[in-house]
Amino acid sequence: MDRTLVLSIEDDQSDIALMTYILKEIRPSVVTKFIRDGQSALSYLRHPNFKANPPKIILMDIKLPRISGLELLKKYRAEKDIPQVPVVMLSSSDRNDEIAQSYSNGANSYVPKPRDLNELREKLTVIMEYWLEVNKN
Amino acid sequence: MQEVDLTNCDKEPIHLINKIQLHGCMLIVDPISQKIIGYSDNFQKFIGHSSRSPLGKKLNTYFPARICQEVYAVSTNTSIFREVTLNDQVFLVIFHNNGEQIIIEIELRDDSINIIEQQMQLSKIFAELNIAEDVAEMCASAAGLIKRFTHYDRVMIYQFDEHWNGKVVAESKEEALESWLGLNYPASDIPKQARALFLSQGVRMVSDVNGSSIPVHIAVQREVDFTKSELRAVSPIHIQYLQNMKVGATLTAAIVYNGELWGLIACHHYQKRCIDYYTRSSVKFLTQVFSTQLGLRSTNLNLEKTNRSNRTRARLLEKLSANWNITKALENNGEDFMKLTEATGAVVYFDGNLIVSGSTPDKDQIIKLLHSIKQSSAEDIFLTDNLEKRLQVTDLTNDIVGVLCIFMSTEQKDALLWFKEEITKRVTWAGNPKKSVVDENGTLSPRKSFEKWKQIQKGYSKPWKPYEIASAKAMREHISEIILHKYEEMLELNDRLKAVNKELESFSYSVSHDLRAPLRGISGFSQILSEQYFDVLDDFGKDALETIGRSTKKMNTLIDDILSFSGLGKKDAQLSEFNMNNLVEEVLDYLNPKEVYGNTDIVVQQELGMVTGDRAMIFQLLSNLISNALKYSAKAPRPLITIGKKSGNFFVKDNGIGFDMKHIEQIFGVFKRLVNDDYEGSGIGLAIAKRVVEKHSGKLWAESIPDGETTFYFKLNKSN
Repeated sequence: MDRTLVLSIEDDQSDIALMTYILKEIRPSVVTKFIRDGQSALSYLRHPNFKANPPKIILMDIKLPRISGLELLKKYRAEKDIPQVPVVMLSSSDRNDEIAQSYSNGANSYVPKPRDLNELREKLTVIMEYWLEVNKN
Repeated sequence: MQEVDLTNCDKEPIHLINKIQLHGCMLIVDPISQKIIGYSDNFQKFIGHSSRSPLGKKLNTYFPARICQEVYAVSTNTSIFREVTLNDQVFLVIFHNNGEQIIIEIELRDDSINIIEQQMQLSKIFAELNIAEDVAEMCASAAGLIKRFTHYDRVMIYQFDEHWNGKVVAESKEEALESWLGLNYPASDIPKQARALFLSQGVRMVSDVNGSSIPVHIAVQREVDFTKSELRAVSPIHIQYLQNMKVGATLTAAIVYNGELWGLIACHHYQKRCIDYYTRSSVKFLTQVFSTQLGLRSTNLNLEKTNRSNRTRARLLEKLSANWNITKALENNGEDFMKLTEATGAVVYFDGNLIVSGSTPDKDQIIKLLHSIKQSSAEDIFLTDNLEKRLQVTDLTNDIVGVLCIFMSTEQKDALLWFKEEITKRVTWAGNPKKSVVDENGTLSPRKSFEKWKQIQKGYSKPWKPYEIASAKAMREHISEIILHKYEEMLELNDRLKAVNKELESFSYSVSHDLRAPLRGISGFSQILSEQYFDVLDDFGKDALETIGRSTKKMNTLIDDILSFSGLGKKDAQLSEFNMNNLVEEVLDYLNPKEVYGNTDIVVQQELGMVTGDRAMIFQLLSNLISNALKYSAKAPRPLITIGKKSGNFFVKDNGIGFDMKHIEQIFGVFKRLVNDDYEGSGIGLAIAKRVVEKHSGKLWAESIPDGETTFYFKLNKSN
């Protein structure tokens, strides 16, 4: 079976559990790799494994321990030698400054985390369909 | 007969009267020609010389050459006396140069007086004066000692006030005599030029009030100045005054303090009485010692008063500094505030409030008085002991006539005031009226003097002493300092409060945020449970899942509200102009009351008009107020909500459960709810509403009655 690799940089245990469940539900072929802090994520992005087998999409939480999501995004986009994958920023809030900062740091999309399961399903479905389509190869 | 009014005396040139008293005689010598140019009518007879007129003669016709040399050499403004024996009789010859002439006065030497004995007596007196504790005791002691020393029937110590009115402050008398202690006299009783004479001469004797006076023949066409003369005759008006009091002889000594006449030692005798120059000199010396002692004690007294006032002020300041509310602190310590001076009442006028202590005018009168003071003077300090004279202000309550007013600043807004009553209010006639000396001619008597004094004093309070003014000024400086200090403290606190508030806002923001994720987990997985495993759950399990669902929903609302509330703290209002009716419609669309509150009638007044403000915030404000109204009126028989505008204020009114106005402060606080869980809500809605209004520099308030109508009003300040 085709494996679709998704990288999720997310520190919250319950969000991780929920996303694992929903992503599997949306697309059974999805394999989600979770990294739980910004520093580890940066190391992984610079690791040969990442270059060898890049994910189709990165879901990045804005609030991360050690290095924040916005900072991490900026650093990642600045790296010329590693594959640049679509990044969707996820946030618990919808503050205007956060949104603006995300796009200017190189995010492809910004999505406030919905509080309702069905809403979350919808959002993630749209994200996955669109960005996997865009990033087919 | 000349009309006797003692004010006439003011004009009488009494030092130029060319007459002397009976108990001595006089020669006037020209210091250049050294010849006699004047003599008293009784001269030859007094010294027992049978020559004709002494005019033009040399002095050695009568006196030994030794004395003549001394007389010619006498310098101005000193008096010298010598014992001289003429025709087997010992005389006292006293001479002085008045600047133009030499005046020689000759009196009899009283054989009965032993000078050594008198000096011993004097030193005893000084010792007794020394042990007196205060001014009053010293005066009383001096009166008694002088009486014993001079044997006059009555000895009084007489003290002048600032207007030269006098008061008998001590007295020693023969028992049969009526007491005059405490009596007050008008200034006219001892007229101005009489006071000047006392000041320059020191001691003055009138040996026989009823005796005739002796003319002095003067050969020059010039007035001779008798200021320093011992024998100078008394003004006819003063004689009549003394006669009215039935006085036969007097001895008066000036009490001089700081170069000014403090008072007099007045000795009265009811027959004629003559004491010789030695005794008079002793009285003069005694009076000087007394004056010095008095000066010392007055200084001490003044110092003591100043110290007392300073202590009072220190005590007051301690209390003021310890209290945030200065007006309150002053109110509680009005007595101390008043006692900074010798006032009978005091007032603090702050922000239009009056804090009154002691005896003062009415509040209305005080306000009017302040107004008059401001109109009459732009100074920051105003004082008078006679309001009628100074401001034409009369008839104040409590007979207040004196005021010391210190403005807190040159703007003359807030003020500190001290008041004094009219003097005569507390002074009464000391003697028994029936026994008092009443002159049958109705002219002059102590009683009349007292009445006159009362008239003169009418409208006057005691004057404001330098220490009182200094103390009042110091109080103002201290209060200003305290206010400034408190203001700074408040600014600092305010800054700290702002910082803490900001911290609290960001804290609640991040906490609410962090709550979102686990809540999403709870809500998400409980939903997954119900989707996937609903069928395997029994009824209780299903109920439990539903409860989890409701609870998470409620918690989400709560977090929304907290975020919205703390978010408002950071934001500034983004102003735009919009139609209020349109906004209300939008809010109603959003709240969609028909669905849950189908019973409720909602009336929106037309013409709510245009509003300038942050549209999103005001949306929030309205939705909070309206959803509250919907919620709390839902259980009314016919729920009615009115949204409208009254005298420029918007309002949202409902006929719900209402509340007790005593909880009004609470309802705008975060998480303050007056009702139980039957009514859903986060408890933040009104706090958000209040914050929105504050962001618009406006005002939000409510009126309500329990189980009745509740109306929330708000007003927006467009200028933001």
